[in-house]
Amino acid sequence: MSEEVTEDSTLGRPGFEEEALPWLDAVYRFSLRLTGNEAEADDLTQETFLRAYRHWSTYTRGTSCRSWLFTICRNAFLRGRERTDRRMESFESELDVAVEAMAGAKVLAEIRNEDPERRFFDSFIDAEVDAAIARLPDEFRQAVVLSDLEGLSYNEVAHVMDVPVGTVKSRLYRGRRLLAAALRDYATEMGYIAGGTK
Amino acid sequence: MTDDRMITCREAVEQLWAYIDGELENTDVNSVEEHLEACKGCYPHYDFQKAFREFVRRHADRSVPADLRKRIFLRLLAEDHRESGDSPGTGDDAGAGK
Repeated sequence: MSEEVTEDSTLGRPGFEEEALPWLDAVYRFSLRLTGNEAEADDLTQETFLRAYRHWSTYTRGTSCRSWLFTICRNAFLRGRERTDRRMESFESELDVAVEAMAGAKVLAEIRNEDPERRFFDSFIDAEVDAAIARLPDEFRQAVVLSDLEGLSYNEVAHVMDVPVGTVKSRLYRGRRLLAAALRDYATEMGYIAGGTK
Repeated sequence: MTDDRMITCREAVEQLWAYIDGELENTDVNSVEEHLEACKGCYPHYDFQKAFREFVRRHADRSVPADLRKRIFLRLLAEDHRESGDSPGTGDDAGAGK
């Protein structure tokens, strides 16, 4: 009855340790970006893996386990959010992809002009970048995190966020632009770069 | 009739993110690369955008804390134990597709 549960034991669901557990770091990072704090990220990561474990039979082997876990994680996060906060941020879902791409290039070109020696890339500490990512509006932050930090394809991000690929692109490009602009402003304020062409 | 003209700077810059993300079709990849090789104005855009993307990734890497890793593993083992005991089933909803 009181069978000992230890770290040396193996899990009962075949394949879970090999396919799902390797994504623990990735799910934790995603949780951290969704929630914005470590305590909630801990809870969300645990909830994600517990749900995934309970529903492991619904996972189709050979498909992207990472995307499957991210989807569970995001849905769990959104459900928790709805319970505590009815206000959901919503943005126009179809921003113009080309316009966003151009606008992002413009912001980065401004940084490049202000900082020809590229001090920008070496000046920031992790916490400053974290803070800038945390301040991005939800939908843009999720796109940036899934694509840039976790390396998901546009199709995989679309699946996790349950939106069309075109929407992923526009949110991603806008998220990058907002992030670059926020970091540029911060770098100027801190004297990391000269600023001036804003 | 084939269109051999080089894409414009605007067209190249509009496609740069997708190019950097590895999301362009082969023909579009060729067009963008041809433009970047020939255009001194656009290459710096590409170079800086790529550097920015790598900068964000480099600064945002995190690992799950060791104690959390352990707690999750033990929680899953406990789930096995619970199911083999006297309270099977969850009625829970993963909320995700396949």
